[in-house]
Amino acid sequence: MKNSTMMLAAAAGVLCLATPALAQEKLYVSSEGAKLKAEKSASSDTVAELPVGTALQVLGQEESWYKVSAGGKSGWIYRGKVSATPPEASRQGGDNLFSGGGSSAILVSEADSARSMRGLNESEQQAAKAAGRPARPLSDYQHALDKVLAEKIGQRELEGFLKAGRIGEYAK
Amino acid sequence: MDRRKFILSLAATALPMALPGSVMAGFLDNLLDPNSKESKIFSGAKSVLSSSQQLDYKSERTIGERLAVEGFRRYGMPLQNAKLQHYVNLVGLAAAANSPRPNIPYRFVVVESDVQNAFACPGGIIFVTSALVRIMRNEAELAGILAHEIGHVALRHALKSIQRAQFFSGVGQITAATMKGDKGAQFESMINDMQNVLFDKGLDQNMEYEADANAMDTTYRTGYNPAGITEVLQGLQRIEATSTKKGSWFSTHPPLPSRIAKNQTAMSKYPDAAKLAVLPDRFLAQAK
Repeated sequence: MKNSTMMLAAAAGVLCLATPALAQEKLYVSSEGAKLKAEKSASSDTVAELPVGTALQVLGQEESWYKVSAGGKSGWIYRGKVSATPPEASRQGGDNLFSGGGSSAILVSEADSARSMRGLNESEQQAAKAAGRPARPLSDYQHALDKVLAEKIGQRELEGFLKAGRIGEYAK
Repeated sequence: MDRRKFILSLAATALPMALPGSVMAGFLDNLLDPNSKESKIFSGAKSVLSSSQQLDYKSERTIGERLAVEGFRRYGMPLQNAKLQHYVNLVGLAAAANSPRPNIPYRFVVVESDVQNAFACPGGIIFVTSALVRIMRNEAELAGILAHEIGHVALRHALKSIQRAQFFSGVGQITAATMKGDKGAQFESMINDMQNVLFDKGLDQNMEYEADANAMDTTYRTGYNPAGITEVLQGLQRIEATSTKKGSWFSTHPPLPSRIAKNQTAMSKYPDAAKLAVLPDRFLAQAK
């Protein structure tokens, strides 16, 4: 094959890859807290909240937004919220990150009784020696972990944080 | 059920995660299908495995919470700075929502330590040391490090690293009744193995490269400049000669030059990276 022919063939290949048949294309919601928006702007009305794993029919793309339809509704979704393959989470289920009094809170409270502190007493002396510090009562560790697990952030606070930083779909 | 039995029965449900990678993929999905091969193999362990997949996550988390205690002992206690801890959780949760495993309850903690390191406990408790935060200059860098650790959790790297631990053997037969005595000792031994991997030996190099790629993808999807992780690695490189190596990022991660080079090559996937959020001012206001 001549060089020029090869280049043409390569160019044709690239073109095929670069122009996906949008009408056929499917995407999947792959992020928590994804929303279908009326316009390609995070400040526009929310048409629907989309759970992880929702299949989307792609109707078009502009800038960082896809125009999609799902469940008879159409609107715009930010590119960071979708993937070409269904995410693991949708197949596996799991805990809702943002459920303040829901499943994650249950996990935390149950974890208290499930937390294995066995065997720690003997090894605390050794660990303290290795780190060059005094041994601590094991309840110190328990309290430290409880405090870490008790940190709570709701969806609204997180959205406010992204908006204030003009991050992702909140970028100007 | 006494506390010990409860712990052990929870831990037993971590077994599926200990299977080889190829079997792991889709394991849980297949298990949910009563006609699948996996489901038939494990029908003998019904008392453990049929108690919903949420319990499986709980057992992963149980292992992770025990590891977290070891992390406090090894590196230090949480930094007494509620504002910074909350901020780190905001950045971490923002990234985690766009990670390959967005729907588990991640928590992030800065521990007081002069050693630069970050590590992830199974189930989503993620540590970063105060010394590592000190070399960061902006929010995109913090997001990059946290997203790297989120990647380890999402891809279950720590669990895969110790999948051969005796504790995980005999999956088909294990029920709460068989979890006495030896299994308790094996649980302790498994926790020791995992500490050895996370705090001393480090994860497999390819897992680190995978977590870097994941960090770039996750931060990009969130809307941060994906170069953040690489900038922190460059910061570490600048101080490498004068830093403590034992138990640090230097001793538990692959050589910095190869990672920086790989990441820089991967930046071509993100042509508009320079337009994305970096946020030095907000970071400095919270972290310094």
